[in-house]
Amino acid sequence: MEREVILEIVERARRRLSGRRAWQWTGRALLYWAAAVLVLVLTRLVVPVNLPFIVLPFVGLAAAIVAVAVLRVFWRLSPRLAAQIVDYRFALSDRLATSIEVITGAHRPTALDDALLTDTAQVAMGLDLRRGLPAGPGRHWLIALGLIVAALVAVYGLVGLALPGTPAHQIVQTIRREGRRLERSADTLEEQARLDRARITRRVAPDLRRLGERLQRERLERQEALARIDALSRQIESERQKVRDARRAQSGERTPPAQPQANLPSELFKRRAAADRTVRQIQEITDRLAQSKSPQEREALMRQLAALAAGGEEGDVPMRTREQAAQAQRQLGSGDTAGARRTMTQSAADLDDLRAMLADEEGLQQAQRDLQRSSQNISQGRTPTTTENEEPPKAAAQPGNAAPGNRPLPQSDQPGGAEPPPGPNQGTTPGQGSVSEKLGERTARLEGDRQQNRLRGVQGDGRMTTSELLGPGRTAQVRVPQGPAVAAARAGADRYMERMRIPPEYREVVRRYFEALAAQR
Amino acid sequence: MDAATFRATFSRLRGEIRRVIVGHESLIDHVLVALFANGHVLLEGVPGIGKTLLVKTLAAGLDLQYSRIQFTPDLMPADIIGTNVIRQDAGHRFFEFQRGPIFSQIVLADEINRATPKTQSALLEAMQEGTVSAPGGPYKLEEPFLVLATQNPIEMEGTYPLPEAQVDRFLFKLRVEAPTLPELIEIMDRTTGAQVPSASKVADAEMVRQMQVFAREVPVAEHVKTFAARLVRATHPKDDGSGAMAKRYVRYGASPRGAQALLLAGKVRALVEGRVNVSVEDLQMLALAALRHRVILNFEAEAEGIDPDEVIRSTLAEIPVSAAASASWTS
Repeated sequence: MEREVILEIVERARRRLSGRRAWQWTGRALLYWAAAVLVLVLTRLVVPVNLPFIVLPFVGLAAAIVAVAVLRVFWRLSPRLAAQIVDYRFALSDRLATSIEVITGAHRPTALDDALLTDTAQVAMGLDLRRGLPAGPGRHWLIALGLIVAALVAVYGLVGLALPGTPAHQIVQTIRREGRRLERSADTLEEQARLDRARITRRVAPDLRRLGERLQRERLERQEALARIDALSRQIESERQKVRDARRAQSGERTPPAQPQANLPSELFKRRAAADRTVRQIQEITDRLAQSKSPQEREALMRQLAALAAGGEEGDVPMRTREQAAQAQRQLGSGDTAGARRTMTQSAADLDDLRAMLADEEGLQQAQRDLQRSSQNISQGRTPTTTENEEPPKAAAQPGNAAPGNRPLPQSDQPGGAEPPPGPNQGTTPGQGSVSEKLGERTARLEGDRQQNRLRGVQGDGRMTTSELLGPGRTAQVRVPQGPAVAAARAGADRYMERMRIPPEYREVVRRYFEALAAQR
Repeated sequence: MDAATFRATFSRLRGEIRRVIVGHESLIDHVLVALFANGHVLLEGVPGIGKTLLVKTLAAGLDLQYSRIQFTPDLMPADIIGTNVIRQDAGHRFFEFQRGPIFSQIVLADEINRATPKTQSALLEAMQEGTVSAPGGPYKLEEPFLVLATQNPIEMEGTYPLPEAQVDRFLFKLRVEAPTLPELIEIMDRTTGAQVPSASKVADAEMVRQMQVFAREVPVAEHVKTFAARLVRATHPKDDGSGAMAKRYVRYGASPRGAQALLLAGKVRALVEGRVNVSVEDLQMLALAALRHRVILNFEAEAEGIDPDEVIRSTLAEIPVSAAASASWTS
């Protein structure tokens, strides 16, 4: 009887103590986990840490609860230790522990064994194990839950905050700078899209601007910022895919040309330039179709249409245009001058649509490149370059307002060598696109570290010096006097205009532009 | 014999002694515990505070043979264990062993440190083996055999400190403190009146022997034994579990006899406390008495006036009672 009483009490104590132990162990582990998470969350004020902070406390909590369940099922305290603990907690003077050893035969039997068991059973029967052996979660759990709450509050409350002068603060600054840069890029893109009649790009540009504004205004973690950029980038990619498919259908391309991504910008630019050129040729042909009456003129038109149908001088006339040129040639040959003119008018319209699509594709690609660059800068915590920080004047983005000599000069001392703001010195299509677009992807030779470019002076006063370093720098600055550069560009423009049959009024505009540049010098 | 009889006899004996001895409750309890644990006691105290009276009262309370040996520098071993004397009977002369005062059941070795080590060592065999080796012997001492030795801690001139081997044979070393003011008044009342109280016989030798055997039957849990062993080991300065004080002030720690003494005395105390198992508290309560004479301090301790009791208390505080008492279970 006494033995049963003692064993039952020890078993009850074992259950309670095993449960208590399970709560203690897991509570302690959870406490350390929660403390570590909180420290990591606070560390974000100093160092950028990319971890799923919202998830981490709940993962620890779930693991602790599972561990409690597993321990309660599979782990039991030894009866001896349980008896010792009961002795200690209820001041039983080691009666229970000695009795358990007697019952389990751990001792040599003595004459006092029965007396001991009787004594122990009498003392132990009145024990209230619930009061003396609490089995629920202990203080570790309470502290751990408090820390988890604190960590969650900190996760939400400290988003986008950083101590000044720390790497985390640099990331925050980078995100905001990239936001400003994307906003400016959106402005430029929208303006450009308006000029190029790029409908899709105009629709995407506000999204880009909104993203830029959010990056500046909202307190975002790096991961969140990158995720938003990635989302917009994917959206733009989808739009670009649609435009590309439509453009291919429009130009009559059978299969998509297998070209490396790195060559795409220059290829698109070439195509758009070719489309421009072809549109001008078609317009000239259409005008002459309306005016030419003599057989010699018709013969000349027939040759021009044949040249178009054959792919043009550089073989870059779209297939559909070629077919239309061949059709117009046939109509002209059969004496249907009006039909030929309608065909060519239609061809010009089609080509103009194609040009808009190319502009769309190019604009979307530019937006993607901007997003990609922002994504890289944010993920690397890179300080943006000087020109990325500068707010370009609105006037500079508009070719019509970009009068020679009126271009404002960057005043920042920050290092960097990015492309200059859009303006009239950007190649063959003044005021349209940026240098990087026209140069295409940088070659390996240009991947070197950039050097600081500094433009000094006051607008309209003194000598203007521009410099650009191509390739691995840090050896010396290369200075190119503006005068020879302008002269060389003017000569090149003249040669190009001679070859491409530019209408006289356009030639005059280009000449005036370069003369203005020379006068500035 | 059962636990209740044991306790009752113990209580009655204690009551009889307390009728004569004023105060010294703890001292009386310890002496009785040593008696029923079959161990000897070294009493240390200044003269005139009742050491001898205690022993005499104890002997009076038990129906045991009592002898007193006053140790002096000229005391010889034969004066203790006895000697051969020439006898003449019917014209024949022969040697006959004349038993010394050691052949008693309660021996008071008064001022034991005044005798030479040679004489002191005459007690060694008797205390440990319960026998006396002499011509015609060995002679077995009658049980129960209890030596209660006294020594004066202040008059050290002309004394011979007990060798470690002999000190180790004492179960307890007890310090006899001076009586408090109320106790002193009570002593005056009791001893200056017409009636001087005396103790009545409570138990005889057979009863004491039975109680000694009975006490050894008390079971001890493993963790209690472990505690005793850890405590003794912890008094050794080179032991991993020893405390800071033991490491610094102890030259030699307690011998295994210390652990045996702890456990045996613990069994008796458990019965006295109404239990039939030894608890850690029993060992904690008895640790000072059982170990203080077994811990040999070094010169640094003597120079700083460190007492063995301080070392033992410090060691007790540092040893975990059991796994159950760890912070993780008690929180």
